Amino acid sequence: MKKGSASKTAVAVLAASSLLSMAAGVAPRPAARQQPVRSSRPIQLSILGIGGWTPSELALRMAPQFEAYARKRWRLNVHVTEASAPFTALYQKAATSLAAHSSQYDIIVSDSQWLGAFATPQWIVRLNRVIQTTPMLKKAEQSWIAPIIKWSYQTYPYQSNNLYGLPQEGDTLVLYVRKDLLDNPKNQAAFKAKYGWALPTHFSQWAHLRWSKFLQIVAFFNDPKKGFYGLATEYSKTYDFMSDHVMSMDWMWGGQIWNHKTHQVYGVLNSPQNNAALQYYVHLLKYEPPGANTWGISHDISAMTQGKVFAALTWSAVGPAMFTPQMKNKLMVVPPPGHMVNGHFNQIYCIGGQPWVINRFLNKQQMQVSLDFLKWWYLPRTQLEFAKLGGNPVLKQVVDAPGFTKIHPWYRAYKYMMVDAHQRDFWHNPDYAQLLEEQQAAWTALATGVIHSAKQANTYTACQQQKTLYDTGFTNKQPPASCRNVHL
Amino acid sequence: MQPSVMPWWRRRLPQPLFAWLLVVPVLAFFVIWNIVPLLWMIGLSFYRYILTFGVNPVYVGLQNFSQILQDYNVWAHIGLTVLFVIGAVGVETILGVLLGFAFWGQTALPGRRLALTLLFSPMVLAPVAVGTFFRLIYDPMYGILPYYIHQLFGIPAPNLLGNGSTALLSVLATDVWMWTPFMILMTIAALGAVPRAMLEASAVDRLSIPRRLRYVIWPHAKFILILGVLLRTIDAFKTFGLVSAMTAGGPGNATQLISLTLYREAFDSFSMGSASALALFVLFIAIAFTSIYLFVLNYQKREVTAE
Repeated sequence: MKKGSASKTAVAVLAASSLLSMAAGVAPRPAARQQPVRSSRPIQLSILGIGGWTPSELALRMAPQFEAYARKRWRLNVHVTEASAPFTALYQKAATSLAAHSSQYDIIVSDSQWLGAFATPQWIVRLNRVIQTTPMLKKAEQSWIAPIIKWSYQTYPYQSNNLYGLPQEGDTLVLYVRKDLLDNPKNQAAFKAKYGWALPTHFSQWAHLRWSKFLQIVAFFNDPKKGFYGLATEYSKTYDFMSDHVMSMDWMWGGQIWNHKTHQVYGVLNSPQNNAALQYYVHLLKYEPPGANTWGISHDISAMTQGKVFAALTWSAVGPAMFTPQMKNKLMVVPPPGHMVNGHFNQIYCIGGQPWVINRFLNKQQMQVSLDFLKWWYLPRTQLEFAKLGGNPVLKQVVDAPGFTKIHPWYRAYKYMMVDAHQRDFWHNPDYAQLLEEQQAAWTALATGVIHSAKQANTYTACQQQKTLYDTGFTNKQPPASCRNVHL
Repeated sequence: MQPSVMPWWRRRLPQPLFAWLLVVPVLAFFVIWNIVPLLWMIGLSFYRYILTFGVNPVYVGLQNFSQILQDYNVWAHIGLTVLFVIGAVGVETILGVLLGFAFWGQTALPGRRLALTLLFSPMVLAPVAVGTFFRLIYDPMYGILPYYIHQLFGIPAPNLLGNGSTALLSVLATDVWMWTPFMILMTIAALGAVPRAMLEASAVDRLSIPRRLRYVIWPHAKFILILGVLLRTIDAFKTFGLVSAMTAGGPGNATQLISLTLYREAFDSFSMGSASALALFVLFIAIAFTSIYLFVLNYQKREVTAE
């Protein structure tokens, strides 16, 4: 039997067994499935996750709960095993394993932009039918906190109805600020005297803050002579660390990174708005610690937890690392600033978080157990437990429940930001890695003074990306001839 | 006549068969792990084959090679790699030879063995680990080197890896730290090949140091020394782990060596056809380097034969 047809058969069997379960009315209460998968030896469920990334590790830390649940509900003897790689190496690890049609990993924590690369060669399971025929997953899918969850974590092509992933965790860029410094009356008086307006001290004041105003606060606290700096963001060439931030600025400044329907980049990415946004982002280095032009996530955390910066613009998912015993009473997490364009307040940031996907090369038993795990994962009580441990849940029942924002200090900002108006995702294309490499090279070159013009950085990126998309057949428009003379 | 000490099974085996039995495992290993993948790679370089596109390989002839030849970035990265190789191997050779001479013949030096052991330890470390350590050492906020530069010279802590003009030099300095011991080792081995009698004779004849180097030491030491340079050149051309851990090729493309470009083409873009073509192209360059060294090595010998 061909692998494709084996997979289809497995999905059909799953669908049939789910329907039988529904018909028998056994779904709501713990019971043995109609055709239980039993084994004297534990069934191994292998999850490939992101090493050193709390939400990904929490899924594995919670695995014993799933093992107990599976034993009780389905009389399944499951043992969850983990494998991990850092962000920078996970894609290679997953893709090389899938390219070999290996069943080494059952569930793989992906990144949203990898969906195209995994889905196009049919390495992962297309989940539409599975979700439709699995009531627990269908119910979960109807309960995401915002449509952006579906578009970002599930679809390829982006915003289509082809579903390939399910959200493992949601995430957004948030702003960690030093509450103790903001609350200091001396600082408040000095700031008001200098800038003529009061330092924002409450969440609601921060929620509508503009970049121009925020920069005044950053400049006020920036004191290099004392080894204290205004801000920490990300400029690292590694993975997408700088891109997430720059693309956020592009969207806020009114630009686009491409036309995701026509795949046109040239003329879109190198727009005057995006050039201004990139120049503005690089200009922030003036208020950042020495060496910040190569910083990534871990540097931001170190700088904040060691009391070297006033604010850090980084992910909600790093909340558990930020709130150390020394800092827990000194920090506040607020929505990051927005920017006014034509009278409209844009507060748009690149969505973080990861989906997870199911390996298509699994046998029937592995496939079944993988789905069981996901069904368990989207139970409201599992999501609540995930939230308590510091993960970012995506179920409306959990996020909208009273008291959710009190669980952890970063959840209020997380909840505020995780709506379509504040989030956007970038390409899910199979050639995302090439596109990413091209813009990371150009933008880090600007941040480190290798080149000195945002226009040059964006034009180079647009030329390269247009060529990549042309070479891979996504667009029939070649980059213009002038691109031959654009280099870093 | 002495009785044979060969075991009975060895005596019964015909000589050619025994020779083949010894050679076949090595040959099989070589064919399976070297020749077959190489041929496969050569074949693949004529195809357009991107794993993440889920499309079967399409024969494109020399298109991958033609794209490489026309790609400005590839040439820029090769240029940078050549610069890195010349700089790294050059400095390592000079330092290695000088330090090798310092240790040569100093058998009675107290702590010589310990000093040599410590000196050789960098080259047995994993490049990724060395790269990570040095990234931290160079860090302008937390690193020890910028801290002391600031303390000693009163200048702001330099951002060595975050500056396009110093990043490559900083990576190169790390490579020198890591691989100079190898050149010391090769120098000590090379000097060990010089016959003691000739050295003593040159001392008795009161030959000047430069003449002693040219006429006594160099003819005997050059083969091992140039072999060391050759090995280091090939290795430096492949430098990947060190630069990947330290800068990921940045800032911009300031430290983007060709090995990183190749890795990204193969394992980020999964463009196996063009990655194979690029690998083949890099292989040709490495072979060219090797040929130049071998030519230089044999030049004098050929001259003597011709005379």
